[in-house]
Amino acid sequence: MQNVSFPFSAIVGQDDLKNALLISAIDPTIGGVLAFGDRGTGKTTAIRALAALLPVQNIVAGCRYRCDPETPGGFCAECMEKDKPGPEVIKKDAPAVVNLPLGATEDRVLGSLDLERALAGGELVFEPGLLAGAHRGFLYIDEVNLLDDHLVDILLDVAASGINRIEREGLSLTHAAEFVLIGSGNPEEGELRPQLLDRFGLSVEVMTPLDPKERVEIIRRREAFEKDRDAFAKTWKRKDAALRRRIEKARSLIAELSVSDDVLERAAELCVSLGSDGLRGELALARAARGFAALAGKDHVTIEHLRQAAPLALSHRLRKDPLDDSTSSTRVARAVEEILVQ
Amino acid sequence: MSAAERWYNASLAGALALIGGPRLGGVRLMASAGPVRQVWLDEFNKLMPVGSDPVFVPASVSLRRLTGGVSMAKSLASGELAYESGLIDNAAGRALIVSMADRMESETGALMAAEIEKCDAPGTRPLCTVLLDESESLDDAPPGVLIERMAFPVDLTALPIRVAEPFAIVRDDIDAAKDMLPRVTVDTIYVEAVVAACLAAGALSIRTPIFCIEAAKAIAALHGRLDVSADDVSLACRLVVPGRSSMPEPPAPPDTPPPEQEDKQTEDASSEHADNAEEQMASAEDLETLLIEAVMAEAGANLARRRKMRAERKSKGMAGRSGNVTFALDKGRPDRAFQRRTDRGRVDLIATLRTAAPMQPLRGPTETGGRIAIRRSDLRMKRFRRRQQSSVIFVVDASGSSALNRLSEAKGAATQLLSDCYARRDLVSVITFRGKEAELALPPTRSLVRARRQLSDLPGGGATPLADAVALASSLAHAERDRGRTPIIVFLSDGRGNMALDGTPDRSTATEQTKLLARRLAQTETDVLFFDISKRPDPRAQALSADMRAEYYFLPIADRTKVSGIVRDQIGRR
Repeated sequence: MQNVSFPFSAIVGQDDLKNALLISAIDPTIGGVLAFGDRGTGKTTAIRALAALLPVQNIVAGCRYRCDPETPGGFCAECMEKDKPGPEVIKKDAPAVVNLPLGATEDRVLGSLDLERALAGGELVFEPGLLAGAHRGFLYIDEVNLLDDHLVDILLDVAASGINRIEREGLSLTHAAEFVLIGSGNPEEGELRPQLLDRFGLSVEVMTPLDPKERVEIIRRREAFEKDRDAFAKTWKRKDAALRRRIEKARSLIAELSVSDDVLERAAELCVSLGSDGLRGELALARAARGFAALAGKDHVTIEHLRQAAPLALSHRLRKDPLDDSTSSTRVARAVEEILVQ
Repeated sequence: MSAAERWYNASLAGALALIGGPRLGGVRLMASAGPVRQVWLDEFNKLMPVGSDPVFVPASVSLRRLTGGVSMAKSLASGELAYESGLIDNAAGRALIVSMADRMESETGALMAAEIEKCDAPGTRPLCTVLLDESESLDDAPPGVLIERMAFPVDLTALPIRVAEPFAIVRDDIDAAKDMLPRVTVDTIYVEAVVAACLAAGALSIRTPIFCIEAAKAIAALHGRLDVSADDVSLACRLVVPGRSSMPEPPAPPDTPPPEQEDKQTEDASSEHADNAEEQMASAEDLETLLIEAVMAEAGANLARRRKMRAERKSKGMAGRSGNVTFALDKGRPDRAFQRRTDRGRVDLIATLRTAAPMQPLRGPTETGGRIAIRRSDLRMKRFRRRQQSSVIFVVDASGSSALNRLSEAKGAATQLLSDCYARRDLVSVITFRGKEAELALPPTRSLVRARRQLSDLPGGGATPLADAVALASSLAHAERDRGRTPIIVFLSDGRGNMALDGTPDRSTATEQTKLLARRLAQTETDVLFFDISKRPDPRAQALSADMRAEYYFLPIADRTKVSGIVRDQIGRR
């Protein structure tokens, strides 16, 4: 049966989540998205929908590492050995969305020795893991707060460098693994260590919508989708296509985007006032602001883009204060009011 | 609501789960193992599609079995690496029955939920899921991710076996309703009313109103109607919403009427609105009010039933879970394999093969002609990680005049401890005692968010039911130990109880009972810290502390930093 996913543009509300996902799709180097919040808020739906929305990629057919035929420098060892890949070996495919199951072992994630071939022929062959499968796509972990800390460490490391280095069982190799890490979870189940939190580029607090009208609309659309998926997808096809064009345009814009010194100074001020130490916060803030500018089709970043980006880039980098009951987004909003709106 | 009515609703929920299929998730069946639950399951079985047996999932299912992977049995038999599909993959179109779901680790629950929803395409998911939930209180419920995905919370507790009759609905009804369901439509005013009612009941997840609407459609289909009526919606809400409210259990009012009386009251309320339902609704507003009332009455009855049960359990003594669970070396979650050094434990076959594999060309065939040569040095053993979590149980005296200050310091200490222990992943719970009984104000959690919310305003003042507090703390410690955690009990009290276990203000009985319970607690060798909060060191507090074999600290002014510091040291000492 055809697997039609829920159209991205048909998702009601959840603007923060949608923006964060779109920006990570425009600029994958942003360092992943952490979506923390209530159950039943459409996190999984949004991520699945995003993958279906994104432009298709060219992939070297048969490559286990999803190599891009246009950047020969980035070929994996296997593609390098082959003769020049001609157009006949190019395959078109949607970006990968790999679901990382909670119980996954290190072997499964990183890749490991191909047992079958090792035992049968005594060959040392590497069997790529989930990270290779997620190259140029998304790696999604639901309930990331329940994942073993050491595994999260590894993932964040690879996500930041884009390279997976294997040194185990007599194998020694590296392969490209550029992916956007998306973690979701429910704070009621436990929290993430601050060190891990800080390494996610963007974070969103996903709240369940409380506006009755919005809720009625959600139920209505869900119902229509379940009733006839193809017809529903057709209704939203044009909106999705328009959004796809916006993403493509933003991708071409973002490399040329200029950020003025004034904007950078304001970004630094904001970070200092919120006590988010380290350069990570500032870097993520600037990147996210560029993302917002590109998404809006602008060629330079303004204070307004900074204001939009601040909650996504900073709210998970505040120092925890057990005595302050206000949520982190309120604290960010307060600081934004003080510094950016003068 | 009468017992017969409850049974009918339970049967209806089962039928609807089969009609609605994956869109309704399934049933959370709350009942202890027994004949009533068995009848329900047998009857439910009869409604399932012909030739599709349910798939049973034990709570202890391994993560690998859920997702599938290398099949040990097949690999060994064929001599080649063989894979098998996961339990959930095999369950497309069949029902999943999860036994002892309350004992399932939240990690397993999360993986199971992900596996069930892995594929979005129609026809690939399990038909429905039944969570067998034997928990007796909110704090040891099945994993939240699974509860959230079950449309119907069905409570069979305390139902007499005489009402457990065969279901009135038969398989043909289900099949007919299934055919009809895709054509059933629902008017927008009903959707609006359901949304409002769910919000009012504090059921904030968007899944709740979705389930209500889907259930209402299934009810209409079951009755052979193509339009959803007001009655369908009202019934659907009563089946779905109770137990799915995300509001914490409201604290008991100071003068709780006896549970029987409360039951009667809600019964009146529900029959009243049943009368209302006879009249046709005039406006959408009326409908909303009606739904809210229906939902609230149902939730109230559920709550009263659970409270009553807990009270009964208490009066029977310190019951709770029986049997001491000992942790063997081969239990727990598998960790990375390690090289063999001892003769104990189990061989990790895959890791062993992986080690031996690169050596095969060098070694050649074995002397006996075997294909793979494995030597002693290749052997890798399985290592299991035992949970070394600590569970800190604060027991705070909320009686008397200085209660509020003490409570706020205890809350401070609990949250401080939580914000300190990200990496260790320890748990914290809070029991308060005042008036007639002790109460679990915060079930064991490692969430700062939840702790802050649930501890936000705790009442103080009144008599001192210290004996009940010791009893509750002991049984919670016992339950925590059953889950493989190491409990630490932290008392903040002056050791002067004046309320007996049965709620009569009798100082001498109270002291006697406290002493007895304290000694019983000492026998379990639980770590106990006793902070004496009297003005000067009190001999009664010291005696009680000695009875519990606790470490005694004199702390006239409860101070969050000091308390959390001492507790942290205690955790570190292990």
